[in-house]
Amino acid sequence: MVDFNKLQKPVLISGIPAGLISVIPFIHCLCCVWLILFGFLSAYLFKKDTGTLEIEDGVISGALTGLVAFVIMMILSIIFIFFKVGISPLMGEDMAMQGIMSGFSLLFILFTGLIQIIVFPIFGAIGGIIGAVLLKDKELSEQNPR
Amino acid sequence: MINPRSRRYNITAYTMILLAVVLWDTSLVVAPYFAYVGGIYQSISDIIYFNFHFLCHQMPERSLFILGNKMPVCLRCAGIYFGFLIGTIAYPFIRGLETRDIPHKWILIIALLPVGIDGLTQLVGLRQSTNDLRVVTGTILGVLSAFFIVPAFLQVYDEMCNFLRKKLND
Repeated sequence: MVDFNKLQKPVLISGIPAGLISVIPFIHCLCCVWLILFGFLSAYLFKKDTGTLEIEDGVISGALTGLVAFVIMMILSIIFIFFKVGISPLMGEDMAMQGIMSGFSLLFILFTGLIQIIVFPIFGAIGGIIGAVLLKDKELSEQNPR
Repeated sequence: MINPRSRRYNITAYTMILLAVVLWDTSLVVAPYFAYVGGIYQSISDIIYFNFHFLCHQMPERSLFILGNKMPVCLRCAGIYFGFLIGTIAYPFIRGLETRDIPHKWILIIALLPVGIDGLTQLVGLRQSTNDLRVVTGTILGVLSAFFIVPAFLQVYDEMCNFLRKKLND
């Protein structure tokens, strides 16, 4: 099983910027790629720190990165809503402009939080898997140089 | 000879991931349908649209319309998600549930290249992609990525079961 102490640094280094970036509306132009990239970064940093990277390490480091990003995004969103500054992803001003939002409520935000607490770690984990797949062969070739 | 317990675990883990993917893809079709029906279903539709806006730009010109309402993701994302469903369904027939081997990294690179080139050249303004190209490149990535994500999930599920079993025995 993965050593969680070794995960702290890569997860925080990649998860905090991922959370901060998630409040930028333009970032959604990249579809889900930004979250996957930070999951990949987390796996890369884990490999750099420990020298090994198994698939489960990639999955867990990526998923935890997504979870940290979700927490940061929620905190920033609540701050933005409370102080009524900037554009919060939870306020969905871009959605309101498109005329597909019928209104906001606490229940709505709660539902969104419940869904995104699963979605963010899933996409982070996908980035971690990609990282583990792409970096694992490199590790083997380093061990057996030709 | 396959251990009956591990076979049961494999089927359980695979069913979980398949159901999650089916639910995910169903919500893409259900959202515009609920928006069309209206009433109380409109709120459910709003929640689905809003939650997908974290993952997609949702530009109408790059989306498929169902009953006059656009899908909650663009055609490239829809291609990835429906392709992933095809890949997940095909996975046990092609690879089997017992294997945990991940295909070679070049298959993943080949899967990422069409989407990467198409998306990046458009993003920097070199050219404009078409919806057909978005669907095709997205579907290639979706189908092939299932062959990396499904075994990884099965492996993590194994690890979790072993970890919990060990904890319960201690």
